[in-house]
Amino acid sequence: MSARAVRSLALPAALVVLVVLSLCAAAAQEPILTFSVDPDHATIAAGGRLEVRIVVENRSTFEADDVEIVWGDAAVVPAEEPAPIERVDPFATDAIRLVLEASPDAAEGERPVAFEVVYSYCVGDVCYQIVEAVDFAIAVVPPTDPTVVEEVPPTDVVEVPERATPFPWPWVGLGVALIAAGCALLAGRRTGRRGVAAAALGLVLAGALAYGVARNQHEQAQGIGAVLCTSCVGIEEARSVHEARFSPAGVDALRALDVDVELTVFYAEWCHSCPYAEAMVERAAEVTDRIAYTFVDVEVDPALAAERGVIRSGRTVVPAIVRAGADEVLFGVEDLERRLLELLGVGR
Amino acid sequence: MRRLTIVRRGTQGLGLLFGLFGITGIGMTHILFPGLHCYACPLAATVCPIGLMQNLIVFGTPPYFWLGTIVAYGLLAGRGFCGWFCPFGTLNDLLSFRKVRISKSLSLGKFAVLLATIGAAWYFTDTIFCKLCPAASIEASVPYLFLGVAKVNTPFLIHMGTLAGTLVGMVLVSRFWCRYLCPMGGLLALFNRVSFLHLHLDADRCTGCGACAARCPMGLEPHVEHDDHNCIKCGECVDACHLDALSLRYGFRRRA
Repeated sequence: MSARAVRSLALPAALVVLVVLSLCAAAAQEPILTFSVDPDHATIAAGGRLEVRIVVENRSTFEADDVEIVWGDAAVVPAEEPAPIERVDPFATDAIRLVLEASPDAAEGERPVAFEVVYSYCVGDVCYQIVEAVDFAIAVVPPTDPTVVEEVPPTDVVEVPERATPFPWPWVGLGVALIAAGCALLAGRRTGRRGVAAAALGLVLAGALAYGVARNQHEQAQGIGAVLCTSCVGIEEARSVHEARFSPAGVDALRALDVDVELTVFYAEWCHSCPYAEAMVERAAEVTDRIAYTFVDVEVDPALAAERGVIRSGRTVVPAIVRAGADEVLFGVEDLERRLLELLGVGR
Repeated sequence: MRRLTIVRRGTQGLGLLFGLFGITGIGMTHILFPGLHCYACPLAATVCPIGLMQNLIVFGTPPYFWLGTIVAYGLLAGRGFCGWFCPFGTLNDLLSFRKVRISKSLSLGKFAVLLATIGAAWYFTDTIFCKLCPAASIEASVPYLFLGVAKVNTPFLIHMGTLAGTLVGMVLVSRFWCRYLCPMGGLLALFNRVSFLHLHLDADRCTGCGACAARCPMGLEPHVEHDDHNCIKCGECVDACHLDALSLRYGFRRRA
C-alpha cells in the first residue's frame, strides 16, 4: 500500500473508529453500581442471626432503579426477603439492610456467601438490566457464642416489574449513517468526485439535525450551556459525597444555632459536586432541628433559581445554597463548612 | 495589509462579537459555536461543541443534534472557521510571529486530543478536557475570579498553567494550538477536504516560488498541498501570490 493510499484512508478510518468507539460506549451494558458489605468480616453463630448492610454506591450520572438482592448460598440465608431499593440517584450511596440467619447445623469456619444484585438503569430511551454477583466471607462459630442475635422489624417487599430492554435502534441508525458517509468520503476522494461525498454528508446532516431537533436535543444543548457546574470547567475541585461531614467544632457551632433557618440547595442532576453540597446541608439538619431545607433542580425550576439570585451573568451556577431572607448565595463547595456556618450566622 | 486579510480581521471581529453576544442579556441560545469558545464564559450565548460532546458522552445521549450541526459546519467551511471566525484562533493569529514549517506527524496530535477527550469523558464520566482547556482559562476561570465564584485554587492554577503553556507555544510557533492540539480543529479537519469553502490552485500559473509558504500561518506549502487537513483557508497565501495562482472558492470542487 502506498503512502498516499495510507494517507487517504487515515481520516475516514479515524471517523469510523470514532463511531465504533461511541457505539461501543453506548452499547456496553456497563455496571454503574458498586457494592460492599458492612461489616466485611462478620461472625455469625450457628442458628443465630446477624444484621449486615449491603452498601450500594452509584458512581455514574444515571439513576439506578429497583436494586434487588437474589440470594444464592444455603448455609447462611436472609431471615426475611430483603427490601429492594427503588432508586439510587447519580453519585449517591444507599444501603440494603439484611438480617442473615445461619442454619443450626451450619459447619463452623469461614464460609463464602454469594448473592446476586439485580438492577436496571436507563440511558435516554434505552434501558439495561444488570445482574452482578457479589461475594464475601462470613465466619460461622458454635451456637454458644453470644454473637448478635437481633430482632429487626419486618420490611415491606415491593414487587419489581420486569422491564424489557429495547433494542438500541437510534444508535444503530446513527452508526450506519456515519459509516456510509465515511465510505462516501473515501470513494469521493478516490475518484475526485467530492460532490458525492458532500451530498452524502448533507444527507447525514439533514437526517441527524431533524431527528435531533425532533427529540428536543437542541433544548438539551441549551440547558447544558445555561447551567454552570463549578467543578465541570475547573473552577474548583469536585468533592465526593463521602467527604460530607462537619468538624467537631463545626458541630458545636451548629448546636449553638438559636434561630429557625430555611435553606435551599440548587443543583443539577449531572453536577458532580452537588451531592456533596446537599449532603452537607443534610448533615447540618441532622445536628440541629432549627434547619429546614429543600433541594431544587435548576433544570426543573429555572424561574426559582433566577428569583433567588443563583444566576451570574446569565449563567445558573450550581451547586448553590441560599438562605431564606438573606441575599448572599454560596456557590460551589470549596471550604463549604466555614462558609455554611457563616451563612447560618454561627461562624467563628 | 492585503484585501483578504482586512476582510478576515472583520469576520474574526464578528466571531468575537458572536461569542460575547450574551452581553445583550439574551442568555444561552440553542446554537453551537463553530469554534473553540467556552460556554461557561459569562458573556457566552452559544454552546461549545467540545463541551457539549463531552456532556453527551457522560449522559450517553446519541448526539443527533450535535452531529448534524458539526456536519453542517464541516460542509460549510471545514477549518475555514478556524481561520475566519474562531476567537481563540484569532488570538493565535495575533501571536503569529514565527511561521515555521508544520510537523505533519505532530499535527495528528489534535486527533489524539479529540480521541482522548472522548475517552476521558467516557471513562471518568466528567468533562476532563474543559478542566485543561486554555479557552476556558481565559473565558471562565479569570472572569469568575472577578465575579466572586472562582478562587485561586488547584484547578485555577492548572488552567493558568495550560494557558501559559499554550501562549508560549503560540509565540514560538504561529497557530501552535490550531496546528497541533485543538480538538475542535480536529473535528472540523475531518470535513476539510469536502467542505464548500476551499483553496483552489491554478497549476498553470504557479511557478513554485514559495511566496505563499512563507506567509502560511499553519506552516504549509499551499502550492503543493492546497488541500491539506491542516489548511485553515485563511487566504494569506492568496494575498501572498503575485501571479494569482491561488484563490479561495466556494461551492463543489472540480477535480484537480
